[in-house]
Amino acid sequence: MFEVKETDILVIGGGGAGIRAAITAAELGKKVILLSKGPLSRSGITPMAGEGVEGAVNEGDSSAHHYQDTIKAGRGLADQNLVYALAQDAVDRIHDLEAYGARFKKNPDGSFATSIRPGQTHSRNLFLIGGGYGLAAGLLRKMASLPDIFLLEDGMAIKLLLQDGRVAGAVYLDIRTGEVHGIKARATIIATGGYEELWPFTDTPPDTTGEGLTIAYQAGAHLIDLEMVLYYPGVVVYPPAARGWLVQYEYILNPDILDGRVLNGQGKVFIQGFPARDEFIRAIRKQVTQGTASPHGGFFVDLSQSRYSREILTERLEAWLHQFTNLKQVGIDLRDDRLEMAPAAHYCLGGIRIDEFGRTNLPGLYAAGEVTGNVHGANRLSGNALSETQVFGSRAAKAACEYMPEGISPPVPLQAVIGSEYKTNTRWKESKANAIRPVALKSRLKAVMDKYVGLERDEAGLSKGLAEVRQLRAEVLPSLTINPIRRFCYEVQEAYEVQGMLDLSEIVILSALERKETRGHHYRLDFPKTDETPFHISIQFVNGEHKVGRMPVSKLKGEGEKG
Amino acid sequence: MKIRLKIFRFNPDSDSIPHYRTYALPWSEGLTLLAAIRMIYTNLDATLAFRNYFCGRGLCASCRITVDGTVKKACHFLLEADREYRVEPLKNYPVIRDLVVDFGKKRTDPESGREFHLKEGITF
Repeated sequence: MFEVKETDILVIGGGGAGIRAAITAAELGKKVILLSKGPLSRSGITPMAGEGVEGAVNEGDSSAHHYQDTIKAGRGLADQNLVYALAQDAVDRIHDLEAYGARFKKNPDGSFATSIRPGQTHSRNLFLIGGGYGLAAGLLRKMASLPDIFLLEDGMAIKLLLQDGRVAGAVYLDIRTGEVHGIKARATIIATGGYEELWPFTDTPPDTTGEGLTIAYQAGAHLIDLEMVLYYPGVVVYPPAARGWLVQYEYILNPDILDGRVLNGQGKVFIQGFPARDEFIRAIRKQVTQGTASPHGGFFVDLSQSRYSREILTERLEAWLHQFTNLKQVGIDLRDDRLEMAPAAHYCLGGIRIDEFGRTNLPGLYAAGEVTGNVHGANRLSGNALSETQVFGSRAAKAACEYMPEGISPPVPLQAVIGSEYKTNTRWKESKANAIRPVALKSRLKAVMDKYVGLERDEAGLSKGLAEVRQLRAEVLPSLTINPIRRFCYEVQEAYEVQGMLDLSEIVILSALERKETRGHHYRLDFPKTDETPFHISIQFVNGEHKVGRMPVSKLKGEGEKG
Repeated sequence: MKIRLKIFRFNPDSDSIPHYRTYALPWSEGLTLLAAIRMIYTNLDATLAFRNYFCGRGLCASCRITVDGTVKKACHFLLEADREYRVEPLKNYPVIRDLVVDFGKKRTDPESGREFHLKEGITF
């Protein structure tokens, strides 16, 4: 039994980019279905984001400076026309957010309070009150005022529908009932975020499994730079109660804010100044190689040598680091305790290739936010991720609304697609010899990715990783077994997730093998140099085969050159 | 050292009333309620329904659960050794199954008859 819904625009993913896309499409008078794997503002990455949003609001700063800083941080791999769009629109989208009810930290004169982050030539980092949750809350308030958005929560997209070479909607699992349904749409926007869950140590929630990317790939979408995974240097690795919590090293190291130190396992300062993320990680990696890292492969944060008094520190910790209070809840006091941190998978730089209007290579398919691949390049500036969600969420929705082919009448082969999903479900629920639960298969896959596709990579390791991933898929995946409960069965969701993660891991490794250089967050032990001419690694599924190739980084067109 | 969690179980498809099931777990320093629930799902009972979307650090409030009658954030709730806790879903929200509640509130548009969700509990 299944039902089919029809809509103008289908948005898959309920984070910052997805909700923003839904709002723009509804404002343009279209009917929208917003499909989200979990409850809005309570799942996915957006609510967990820090408070930083980039926007050139200060005097002396400009979108040209924002553009130049972002290009520079991208280590040659950011598509210039996309960065141009990001820098051009960021401030307007921030004003939208404010109009929706999101609140920003302000100066006494009413202007935006800002701070400077590594890689910025001007103070450009605005503070969202409540961080990503505050952003989501503002978007939700706006959304609630638009009656043409139909929200489907606890729904996981499992396949895109194709019709005459264009994307015409999706099939999804209703997690609450265990049923599979279809949605026909005249245009589809994917905004499902990253795939950090391929690795065991992340600061992202467990639902960031990347299936939006997998289903787009299987439909023929062009993916780009999948090997580029941004690691955030400062994530708590010990004690276990706080494992995976991001603590902004930017504030800790900033001499004007907290004036803290980072120490290696021997208690020695190993980094000076205010490094960008990839530089910091390289310094940590060096400590690990030398055997001088902290016990869990990272470093310690220490505020005891700060030049500020305890009163000032307390005040600033409370004002700047929301994590300070959270850490106190689980018994850690940043003022006295040395916190052990290590780099964790934080943001996926690679993803679906888009143009500056959020268009993919497939007619009818648009993408925005972290799921896209060529916005930031090989490294990302702090705060640009939330700006990206708003700028490209809105742009993708505008382009999708302009596309809108007449009617969606020729029936897509929904019944067959849904029937085959039910068969897969039934097979998972049958008891079998060598049964393995999705949660166990996930952890086996993550161990492979951690071992061979982590911070440091080389040809031999990547090839071994590829072979092991393929072996897991061929030999272990068929034994996947889940419990038979239909209503809110988390194991069905996890089964779909791990199936997609295996496919995605394979193409991430193929991309990493093809990039025979070191750049930004991709570090090849066997190719430590950076090639002179930057290029994208592209991958596409053509006639059942993975086609890996290289393509040039796009340059800014015409008058935009001034930036 | 051990702890025991007496967990609310209810599947509206098959149960007429909720029941409780008690799980015994090894305790270690810094064990949070969230980590304990994940441990039960991973090692003891695949059928336990819970929302594994948590940020795990007190930001999203999605892991709010009723512990011994009081609503707590599970990720911030440290368990003490050699104790038993009664664990129930977040109060005042409809239960989907076990510890999973529906955060949204359904509303029908009187004109089109379309049903959509509005968020609750968001403050500005």
